[in-house]
Amino acid sequence: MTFPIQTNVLTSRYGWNEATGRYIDLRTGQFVRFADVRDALESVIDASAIRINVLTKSLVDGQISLAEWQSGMLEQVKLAHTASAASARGGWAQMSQSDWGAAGRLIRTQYDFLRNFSDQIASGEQLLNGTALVRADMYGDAARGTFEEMRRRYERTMNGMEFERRVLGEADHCPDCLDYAAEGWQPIGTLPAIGDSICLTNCHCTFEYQTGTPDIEESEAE
Amino acid sequence: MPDPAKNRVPLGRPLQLTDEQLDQLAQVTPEDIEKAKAFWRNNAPPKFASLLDAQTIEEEEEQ
Repeated sequence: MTFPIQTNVLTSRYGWNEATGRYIDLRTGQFVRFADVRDALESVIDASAIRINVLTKSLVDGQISLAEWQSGMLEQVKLAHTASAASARGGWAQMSQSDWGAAGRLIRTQYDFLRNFSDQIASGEQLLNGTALVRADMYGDAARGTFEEMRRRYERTMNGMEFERRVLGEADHCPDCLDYAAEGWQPIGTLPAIGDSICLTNCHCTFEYQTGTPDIEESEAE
Repeated sequence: MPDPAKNRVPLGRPLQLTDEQLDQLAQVTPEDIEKAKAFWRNNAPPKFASLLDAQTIEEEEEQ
């Protein structure tokens, strides 16, 4: 398989190959590694985390009202998750209406959590201290789960993948993630989503996909 | 010395958002996409700043 090498620097350096679900570096004709795509997303998530932290610290320090904080958080959550969704799907041009609908549903879930968070701050159930900062951080990290969910959706509906397995990330692993990874190849869409383990949005696991009959021996050996 | 407690903004009430309003707010609009494009460009590593501007390309037939 070869891809055209692009020399026109006025357009993006990257292309998207729908058949493989991979970005291509048009200067080299090589696939972009998944790890590089995820690393790029991590930088964007980190930037979002900084904004969320500044916003929440302003609330804790009494510089902004709860409504101002909530409004800022709604915007920041949408920003991070929108970028995350597009990065999983091959870029802005590849996002269909259906993809945007799926991204919106993932954002909606975060908005539910955020409404509950805001109500708990108002009631005093959530103290305005370091725990609020830690809890707020989770909203940026959740964009990692959005990336994996959008990719899972693509692999299932457009790329014909039938099986998935959880791959442990470079982080400390919670018991849930260890269990899910130990299950090996499973029908696609059946393993819990990234973020549904007890490590919540701190999860750095990813999914791998396969079509046809998975190599169970390989799965069991790992 | 100024008393920081005196300068605190009142916490106030949270936004009262219904399920229907959250449904509406969660929809991704063209304006949201433009903001997210800028956010990615400004915060991704320079090498990958244009990653999401990728267009679908077809692979070439092997000769």
